[in-house]
This record gives sequence, structure tokens and C-alpha cells, in this order.
Amino acid sequence: MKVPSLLLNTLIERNVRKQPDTHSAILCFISGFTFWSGLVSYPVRRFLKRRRSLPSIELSSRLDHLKSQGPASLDALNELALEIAKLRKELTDATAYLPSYDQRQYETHLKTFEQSLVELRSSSVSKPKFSFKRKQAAQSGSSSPQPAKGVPQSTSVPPPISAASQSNGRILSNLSNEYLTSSSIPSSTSSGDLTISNLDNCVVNLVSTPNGSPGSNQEPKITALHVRDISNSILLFPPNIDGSAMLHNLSRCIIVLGCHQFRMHSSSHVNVYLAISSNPIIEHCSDITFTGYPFSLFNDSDAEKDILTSNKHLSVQDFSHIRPSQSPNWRILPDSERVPEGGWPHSKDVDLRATLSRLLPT
Amino acid sequence: MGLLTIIRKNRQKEHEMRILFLGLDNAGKTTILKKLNKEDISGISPTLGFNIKTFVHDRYTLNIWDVGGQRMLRPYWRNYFEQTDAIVWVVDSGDRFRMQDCKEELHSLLTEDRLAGASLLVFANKQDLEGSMTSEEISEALDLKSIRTHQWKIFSCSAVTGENLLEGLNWVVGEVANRLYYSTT
Repeated sequence: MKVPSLLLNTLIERNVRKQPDTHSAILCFISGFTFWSGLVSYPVRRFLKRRRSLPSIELSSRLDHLKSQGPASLDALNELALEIAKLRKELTDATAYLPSYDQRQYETHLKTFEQSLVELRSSSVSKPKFSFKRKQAAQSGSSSPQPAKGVPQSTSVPPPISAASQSNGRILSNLSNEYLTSSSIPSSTSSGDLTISNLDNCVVNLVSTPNGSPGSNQEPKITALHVRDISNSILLFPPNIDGSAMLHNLSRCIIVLGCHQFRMHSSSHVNVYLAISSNPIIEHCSDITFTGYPFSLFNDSDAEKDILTSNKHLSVQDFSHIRPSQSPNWRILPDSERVPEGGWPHSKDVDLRATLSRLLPT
Repeated sequence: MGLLTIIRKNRQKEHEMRILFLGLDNAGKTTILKKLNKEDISGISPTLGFNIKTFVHDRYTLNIWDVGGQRMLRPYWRNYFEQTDAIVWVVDSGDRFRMQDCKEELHSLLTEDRLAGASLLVFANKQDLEGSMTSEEISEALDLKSIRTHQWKIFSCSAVTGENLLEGLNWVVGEVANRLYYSTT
């Protein structure tokens, strides 16, 4: 048994080196009768060798070190998270040829790493990364819904939603030619879901700037954002939306936004100024540009640093173009075409029409 | 001993289940899965393709397939239907605009022959968001009551807080276990 299996082993190894993609098939076939008697194919051995060596040991010692140090810095945590993710990816890639026992072992190792990372993260949050200082009382007085002055360009029927649309979330919709701030949002609650739909020729400013323009002195806390059917408008959101953003059917717009996940569907001619730590997604879009979140709209320099160091606003994935080549549907917005830092429509007093025609993509 | 008994015995030995996580994009499928597996959920990107997780839950080995929900990826769902014991349909409870879309995708999924008999767990996710729809509202919006072909149940949950995730998983695993391993012919 021993001799033939060794023979086979060398045979396989030779084969494997020649045609790496057939190794798993051969391995399956062979393992049927020689099982595990010293038969470890080349890629498996390579994986084991690498895995047994440095990274995991080094990682665990680093984790311990960080734990003993007390609150860990964000950079160190991010770096660790990245490495753990890398290890996990390697493990996933290796599932094809790794025996299930070893898979489970590595899986448990990785899990302990991840758990300790989570612990570290929660312990290091001495001050929350983002926090909103919201004045509670100011809301109640001025929150009468604004009547739409201009006639909406298309007298389209409101979105066909059933009884389900009786929401107690915040909704801003069916307006045109308006400058809107957080006080324009008719709502009972002041945190959570925000839905914006059916706007035309509007500026929506939900960002409070350091110099405190009137009407926008309170940032609304947003944990999920849905934007739909917007045209010829500028939407300014804070850089720290604590959740995902879903944008649908936008045309000729500027979006300024920071969030955990970004998805845009069926849109065209949109400039996106983004702060994000995951890959932005576009689907069925055209003429989209991406660039970083504008500096002048940050109101907290710490948050700014955190966000900009991990910004992945250019790792856009176009689901309508899943190929290695560059997607024709989006590009990087050159710095020369960015809205200048001082040029954002901060205050209600701006000339709406002129601002829109000056800033919007043509 | 009929053929069915042999098949059952065979599966009993393995104690494996294959569970498919589906739903529209932005529903939180990957986040739920990572939370269940006690992984870090802070830096998840939208899924391009799919993730596989294998973990042991209550004597059973669960093979969980989490397939991306972007419109472009939905035609590929069918590639994962074979031998599926349970479907977990994840719904973003804050996404009122796409409930219709969500309902259509779910009902067309349930007409698939290869999914006949699979148990259906609906997760009304993102309950941590204020203003999200309740599980009753979602049940109504998705017309779950009309489903006669599959055993189904809806759980409201939050992937961020972990609320109700295990309860949902327990239900679906119990349901599949009853069907595959304990029923007698």
C-alpha cells in the first residue's frame, strides 16, 4: 500500500505541476482508495506550509499585544482586520483541496481572531467614531411641511405603493425648485430611515458646516438612505451615514455622501462625491463620475481623517460590466471638474437656478 | 427497505443541510450570515458572486450559500437551486419602494421545480431602523399567505444587533430536520 501510494504521489505531483487545474479531480479520485496515507498533493502542502508559518502566530501575538495595551488605535485595528480578511480569502480559495478537518481547524482559528478583533474594536471605542450633537427641542416648532410652490415638472402619479407606504419614517418627496434642509423633513422621529423621492431642480442640504448656516444647524441622524427619481438636483448628505445608501433612477445630479454601502441603479449623468469603506456598486448606469467627499463639508477633523484613510470611493464595481476591463459607465472625476471647496451651496440664500446650472453636470 | 429509506438513511449519516440565502440587494444577506458565524460585520461590500459558509448548528452541518442580489446576478440564482433543503429569503424592511419587486422575485422563485418542498424562512431584516415595516406588514406586502407550496414562516430580525437570527435559524433547521430525518414513510 505504501509503495504504490508513494508512486502515485510523485505521479500526481508531476501532473499537478503541469496542469494545476486538474489536481483536485485527481486528488478526489485517488483519495477514494489511498485515503490519507501520506498523500498530500502539492498545493495542499504549499498551503499548509504557508499557513503553519508566520501570519497566524504573528497575528495572535499582535492581538494579544494590542489587548494588553488597552484601547487600540484605529489604524492598527484596520490593519489587523485587513490581514484577517486576507487570511480568510486564502482559506476560501483553499477549500477546493483542503481536507475538511483542516478546514475546520483553520476556520476556528480565524474565528477566534475575528472575535478578538471585535472585542478589541468594541473596547477601543472610548469615544464613538461618529456622534451627532443634536438639539432636541429645535425640531418641534418649525417642522410644518413645506407646500410645493412650483408645479412638479411631470405631473406623475405618486409611486405605486400599496398600504405599506404609510410610513412613520422620514420622507421628503414631490418637490421642485426648492432649497431643502433637515427642517423641511416632516417627521415624528428624528433618526433612522430617510427616503427622498421625486425631486426636480432642488438643493437638499443635510450637512451642517462649521460656520453654521441657518436652518441646517442640526444634523439628522440617518441609518439608512433611499433616494429615488431625482433630477437636476444637488443632494448634500453628511459623511457619516451609519448604514447603506440605495439610489435609484437619478439623472443629472450631484450626490455628496458618506456611508457604509453604496448602490446606485438605473441612473445617468451623476457626479458622486463619496466617503465609503466598502466597494460602491453601480448597475444599469451611464455617465457616472466618482470622486472623494469634499473637505469643506466635513465638520469634524477626526472623522475626516478616519474616513479618508480608508476611502474606497474609486473601487467601483459595475454590475452591468463584469469584466476585467474598465467599465464604460463610470470614470474618475478629474480634480479640475470638481466643485471648488468654497462653491457648495451652503446657505438658503443662494440663487437656486444659477447654482444648479453652474454646478450640475452637463 | 425502499429506495427512499436508503436515501434517508444516507442523508442521516451525513446530517448535512444545504441552505440558500436569497433576496434583493441591500437586504443584508451577507451581514446576517457573518453575524450568525460571529464574524466582523463592519466592512462588508456588496456581494459580487457568492459566499459559502459551513458551520455546525445543533448537530447539523449547514452549508449556506449566500448569493448576491443585484438585479444583474438574479438570473444566476438558478444555478444554486439543486438539492436545496431550505431557502432563507431576506427582506430589507426599510425598503418600501421595492416591496413589489421583492414580492415578484419571491413568488417566481417559488415556482421553480427544483425548489419544490424546500422550507422557506423569511427574515424581515433591519428592524433596528426606526420606521421600518413590521413583519406583519411585510407578510402582507409579500402576500405570504398565498404560499401553499412551501412551509414558510416570517421572523423579524436585525443583523446588526443579532436579534432573532438564531430563532429563525432554529426554526428552519428544525423544519428541515423533521422532513428529512424523522418522518417515516
